[in-house]
Amino acid sequence: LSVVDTAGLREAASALDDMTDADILDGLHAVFAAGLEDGGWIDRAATRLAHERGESAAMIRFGLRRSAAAHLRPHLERQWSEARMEAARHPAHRTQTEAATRPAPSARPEAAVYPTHSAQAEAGGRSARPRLVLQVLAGNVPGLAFPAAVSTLLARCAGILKPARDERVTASAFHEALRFHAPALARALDVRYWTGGDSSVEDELLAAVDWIVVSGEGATLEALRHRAPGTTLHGPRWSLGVVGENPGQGWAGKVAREVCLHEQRGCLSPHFVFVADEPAAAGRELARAMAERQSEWPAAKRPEETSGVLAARAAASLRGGSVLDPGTADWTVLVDPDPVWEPGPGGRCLRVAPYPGDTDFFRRLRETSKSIQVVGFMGCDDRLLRTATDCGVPWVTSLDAIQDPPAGWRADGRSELAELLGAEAGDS
Amino acid sequence: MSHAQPPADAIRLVGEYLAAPDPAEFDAVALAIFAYQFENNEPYRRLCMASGRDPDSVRSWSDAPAVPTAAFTLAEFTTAPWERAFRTSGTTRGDRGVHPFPDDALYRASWEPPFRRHLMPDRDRVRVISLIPPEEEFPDSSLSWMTARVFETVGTADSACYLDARGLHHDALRETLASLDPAGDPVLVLGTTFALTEVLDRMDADGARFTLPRGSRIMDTGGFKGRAREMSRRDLLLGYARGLGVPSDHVVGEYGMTELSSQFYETVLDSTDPAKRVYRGPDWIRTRVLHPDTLEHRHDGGLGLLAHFDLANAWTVSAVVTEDLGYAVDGGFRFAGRASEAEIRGCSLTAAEILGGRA
Repeated sequence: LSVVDTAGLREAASALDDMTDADILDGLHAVFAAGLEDGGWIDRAATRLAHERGESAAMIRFGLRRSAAAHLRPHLERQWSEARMEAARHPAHRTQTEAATRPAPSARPEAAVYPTHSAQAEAGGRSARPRLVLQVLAGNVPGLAFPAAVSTLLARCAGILKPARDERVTASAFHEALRFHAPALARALDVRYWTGGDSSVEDELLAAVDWIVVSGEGATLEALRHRAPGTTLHGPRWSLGVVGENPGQGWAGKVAREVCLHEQRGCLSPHFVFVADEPAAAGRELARAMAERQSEWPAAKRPEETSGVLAARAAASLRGGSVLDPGTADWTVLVDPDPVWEPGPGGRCLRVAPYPGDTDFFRRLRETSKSIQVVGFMGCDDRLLRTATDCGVPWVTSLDAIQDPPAGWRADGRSELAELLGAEAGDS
Repeated sequence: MSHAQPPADAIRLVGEYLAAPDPAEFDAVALAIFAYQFENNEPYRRLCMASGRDPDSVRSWSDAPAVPTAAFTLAEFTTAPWERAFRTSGTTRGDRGVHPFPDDALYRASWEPPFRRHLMPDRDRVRVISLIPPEEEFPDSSLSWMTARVFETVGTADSACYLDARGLHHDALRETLASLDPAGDPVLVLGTTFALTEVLDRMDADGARFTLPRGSRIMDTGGFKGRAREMSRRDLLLGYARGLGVPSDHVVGEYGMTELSSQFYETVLDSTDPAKRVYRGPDWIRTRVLHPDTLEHRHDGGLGLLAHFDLANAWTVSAVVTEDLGYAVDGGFRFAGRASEAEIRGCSLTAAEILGGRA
């Protein structure tokens, strides 16, 4: 991958130092605002991606537009100021040992170690301040390039975005739009695809970067954990929801939308909901909503997920639950009186369970918080949201926006931007 | 109205069918055994009821609700009390599926005819070189059980096993392979892909090459996904030819699983067109390819989940849907791999566990 001009990228990162915050924010805003125009670059990317992935174009368009809207100027400003404050409070310029003794936040996953930037960087003779970041993007959810590029550029770093095999569209589309609307920012980014694990490519590249941000399974994370002076590692997590007694009109449709979005892939997808009302009735309502959503966003064809769906259906039946489905594998609602707290098989398979009461719910939430990304509430007392936050869940939000994270949200309880800024702050 | 025949009748009916299969009678026997299982197998009945099917509505073997193989980890699907069971090799979740055998007469009756047809069409006995761990050490492994029966039934006195709980006995294996006379009697090598690959790797490391006697054959049970370095089927066949001197038209893939009593074999030795490599089962098992979206029986030759109806599973559940993908082709099916989220298929896991340190 010698074609990546790492020296040029570092120069471009230095040039970012001469830009004002407003310049950077304006540039990023312009790209996302243009993307939100009808027929703009996001719509075009969605159409292409839908074709390549065999997923609903309307669904992908909805997801990408939602993400772009979350990155418009007011949201970016908030992200920027929050991350700066956090970085000042907790500079990430520390060793693993120091990180391990750090008290809060409690939601930090075991797999994700805090940056080890300083010691290794100095040992390697490289600048302690990260200037070149490799972002290894997952492909399960479209548009993951957006927050990755934004964090990198706001930290005034240059970035190499490595898209996943089955989602190479949006990173390139974003970069192209950036070239048009904010060329100085675009010079600090490169988008490159290669087959993951190809050491003939990665050895050279990993030796050249200061920081790696990667989402993936255990083996991927382990392989990259010590390959750069700094790492931000995101492991697999899943999400769930709670529907209270007053969820409001159309609640089931909103839940179904969040379940179906991105084909229930990604850590923000809810895998089951606890309901305060009678689960069978809630299940029927959700099944109707899933059927409606299916007509708007037809399910993608994923043969590899079907066996998992069939197994989940059988498991629910054997536990005395009921199975609601259209007779196909398109979607499933399992009314399960006693569900196992673990993610389902995907493939739009939603489990519905009776809310077990605050004591039991929060006990289980505390026990599993390290594998949970988000809890979404709907029609519940605010007190529940606060208690869930105290349980160590990285993000607690409204169930109807569970897949709509704000710019700079803390995936796994970690702010990527704050970590990059923290490394910088620690060095300065 | 009860459709169930007394257990002895339904089981006897299957036993008679296995002894003298008549494809025209398959459906009748299948319906009898489905009714028997519906009446006597409580978890299966629960699944049938959940899908709205019972002996009144099931008119053909293909209507019987198929139990996902993963469900064998959740319940004991049996129609009668049992003492003996085969268990899957476990999953990453640690749970093991169980296939109980109140009586193993049907299992005994089902393995031999297809084995002989596909691996021994030209001889009654053969020297067996096994890379499958012995039954004494793995009594709940269906593959180890079958291998023991192979030794008893078709193996010559000098047959031997070269893999056990201590690992691969590579030196002994190499000595045996080196001692074989290329012009002598053919041998039968049994192994999982994992174990066979391990042997090829060791031979590569040693710079060793062997030419097994002409007519020697390999039975490869498949399965190494996620456990060892993976090789394409083509590379494997080339490896067997290069390392052991066994040509691809003498390498027979075996497809079986703990949850089934019957096995499928690639039509190679018994075919006039071995390159086709189609998996074929005995007359007492039928296979459907289910469309992965509609779950309907797929007739267009497209990719889908493999679902089987195995009469020899009379004591448990005959209709089983697997986590395997395949295509229906004339005379059988082609295996297209495991669903990506599915666990490694049992057989190879034992070898993987034994050889894990070196894999």
